[in-house]
Amino acid sequence: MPTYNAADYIETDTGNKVSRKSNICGAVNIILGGKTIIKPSAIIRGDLRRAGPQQAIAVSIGKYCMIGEGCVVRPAYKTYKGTFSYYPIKISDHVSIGAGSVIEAAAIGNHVEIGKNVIIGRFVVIKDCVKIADNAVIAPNTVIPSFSHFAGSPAHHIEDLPEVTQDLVEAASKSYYQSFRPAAAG
Amino acid sequence: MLLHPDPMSSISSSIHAHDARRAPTVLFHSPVYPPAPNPAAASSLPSFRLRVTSPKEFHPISALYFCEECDAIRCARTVTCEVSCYYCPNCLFEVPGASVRAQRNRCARNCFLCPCCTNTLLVHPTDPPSSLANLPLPSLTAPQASQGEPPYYLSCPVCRWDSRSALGLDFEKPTGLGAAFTKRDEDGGVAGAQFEQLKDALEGFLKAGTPAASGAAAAAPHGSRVTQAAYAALSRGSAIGHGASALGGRHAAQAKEDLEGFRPLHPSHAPAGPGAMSDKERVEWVRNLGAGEGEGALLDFESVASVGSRMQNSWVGSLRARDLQPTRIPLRTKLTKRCSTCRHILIKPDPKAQSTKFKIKLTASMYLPSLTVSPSPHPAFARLTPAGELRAGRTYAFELALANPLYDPIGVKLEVVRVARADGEAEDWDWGRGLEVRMGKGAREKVQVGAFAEVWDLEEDEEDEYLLDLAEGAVEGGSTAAAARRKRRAAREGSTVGVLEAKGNVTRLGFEVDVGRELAGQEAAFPLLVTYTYREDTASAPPSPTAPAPTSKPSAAAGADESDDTLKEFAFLTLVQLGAVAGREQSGGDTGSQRGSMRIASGSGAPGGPGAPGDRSSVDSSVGRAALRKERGVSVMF
Repeated sequence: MPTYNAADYIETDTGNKVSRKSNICGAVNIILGGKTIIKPSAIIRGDLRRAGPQQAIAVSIGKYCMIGEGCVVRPAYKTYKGTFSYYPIKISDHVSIGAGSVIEAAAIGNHVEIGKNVIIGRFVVIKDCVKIADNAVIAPNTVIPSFSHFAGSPAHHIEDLPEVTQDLVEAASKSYYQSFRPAAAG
Repeated sequence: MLLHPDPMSSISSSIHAHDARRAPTVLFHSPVYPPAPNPAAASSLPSFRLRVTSPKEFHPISALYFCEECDAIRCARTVTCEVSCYYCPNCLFEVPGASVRAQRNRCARNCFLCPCCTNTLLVHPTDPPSSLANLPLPSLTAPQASQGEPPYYLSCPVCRWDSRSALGLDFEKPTGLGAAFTKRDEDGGVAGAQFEQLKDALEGFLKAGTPAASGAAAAAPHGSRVTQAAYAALSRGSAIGHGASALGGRHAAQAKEDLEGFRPLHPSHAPAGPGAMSDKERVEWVRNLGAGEGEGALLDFESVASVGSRMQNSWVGSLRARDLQPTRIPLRTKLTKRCSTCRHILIKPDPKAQSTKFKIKLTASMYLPSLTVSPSPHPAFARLTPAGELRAGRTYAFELALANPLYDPIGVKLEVVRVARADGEAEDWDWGRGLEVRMGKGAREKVQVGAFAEVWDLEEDEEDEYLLDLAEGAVEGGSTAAAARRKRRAAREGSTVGVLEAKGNVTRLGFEVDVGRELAGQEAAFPLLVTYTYREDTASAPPSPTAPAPTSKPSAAAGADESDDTLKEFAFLTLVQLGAVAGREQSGGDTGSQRGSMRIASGSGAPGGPGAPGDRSSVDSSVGRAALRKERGVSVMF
């Protein structure tokens, strides 16, 4: 049963549990979907947002997500037609990211499991129900179709996932959130 | 032996749990062969469905499907697949079935694979010609540095291969590169030329066989002229092969002549394609690979193309890595799966390539109770080795969680069986050997598992207690001494054997396992026969005497018509894999271990507190051992 010291985490009214030791930059540009856990030493760069006067969302994370310890989530950048800009990163629901991973993708779909020490390059598009093995390195601009299992460095498709993947990942992320409770006082 | 490594098993063990060692798994059996004519003689298991013919028939439940018509579990071997749609894995563009063949099963848009590292290639515009090349570095950040113009070339962001410097290949437009590439003829014009020659040769063949072709037209299912000619040729083929003709001697002789005179332009064994080298040239080139004198010569392996990148070519091409061409990305498919016996559709994905939903999804996890085994946190039992293995000769406690996916409560009966080869010989795969499993109540009586309620009523305490009472069964009755003994054993076993908790739709049972010494160095696994009874709603199910369909959805008729419901039973085999047992060397120091778990607990229970295990051993040892012996006779063999 993963428990945590209640003083170490901030719990928002939508159920997000953010560790106080995590490094959240530019929190006003970050959206958390609710019931998301951010572990200590995670770095989320919300300050790298597209330049402009209006409100821009740099990082958008869905519900029941889990960002592991020491992860780095930062938006990718490109110079396109003469202008340099950051592209927002959108992470959907039920995504779990293992410890020590570096995520620079453009979009991550629902029910994705990312392992430990994974490096996801720029502008990678990950669709739904994907599993990325530990220590994988995803080359920039790759598109990962649904129900794939990617592994290796550079990562390649190694097998197809079964059709029940969505139910399993959803159940696992929900039960993880429910069992992630503050340790009993005393 | 490793059975079906399960990608889904790491969902709860690598990211969400803190336990790094391999968790115990439960594999489900999917029967492959149809019922034997005399099931009683073939195997001693009760029903044909439980006939195990190969260890490969056990799969994790995530990989199995369930056919309602046949009332049987189906696996990848017993389903037939059909293609539902084709799509490119890179651009996710759905290709209609008709154009798939024309595009040679590859993406016709801008999706290419790098010949060196097989990553996706980027379409890159050329830098505008200006004096930018002469300017110092800071000016590369000027806006003009990021603008580009035709011609476009392909470049790999990972290994820095690019088509212009390697092959001199570039394109005028950034779109439709796949079509442009095919037009240049991927094989360097070889495929086109060969096809033309073959067509010309067979044209004469067609003309010679026209009267027979029209006669065979009725037999040909398709209307195309080429296929009709092929059918005509087939019907004459036997004449050509054997020399005797029932159809016409003149036709046969002439056809034979035509075929023998045909020499292909590019035979498959000869080198063809861009940069192709003859055998002699290849040998010379490899011999001269890498300059250098004598022993100091370094072989330049990087310049030789690997077998993996060459094996998809139709002809033997160049051996050099620098001659490798980028390949278009092969298309992937979404499959529709059908039961192979009754053709009932089990999996039907959404026809759109972008969607991950399923129109029909009949997986085993929706019908069968799922079993999960985890090590018990009870401190008094033996610990695993540092490598995460079991020790031979010790006793371990595990927890088995049964989860009910149906909307009605089910009763589950578990029975430890022993499975050897189906024809009666005990071969190398003989599960259940060397393990003694004590399941307590679950082995003798039915364990109730509650219905699957969606999100509401997760906190039904009264219901949980009721279920717990049901599950505990009736222990009362009998003589007081026996009851007292049972109570004491139940008190000890209460936390490790029998029903531990019944909450919502999950019931957790504990069981103990004695690992025998003969299992050292092997896998510890035992088969478990699971029989569960469910209420079948006869009002909504199709009338079928032998194959009832379990109700998985609440229907209006079910509430109104309780008296019509019948209890149906379904049995399936599972294999509970507990993990590897440490080899003989590691468990050799265990001289004092006996079969009785009392002594072992007292020996290893020292860190846990000498009081508790010691008490148990003094009070219950005689009773415990007697009970053990009795249970040994009941539970292991059948």
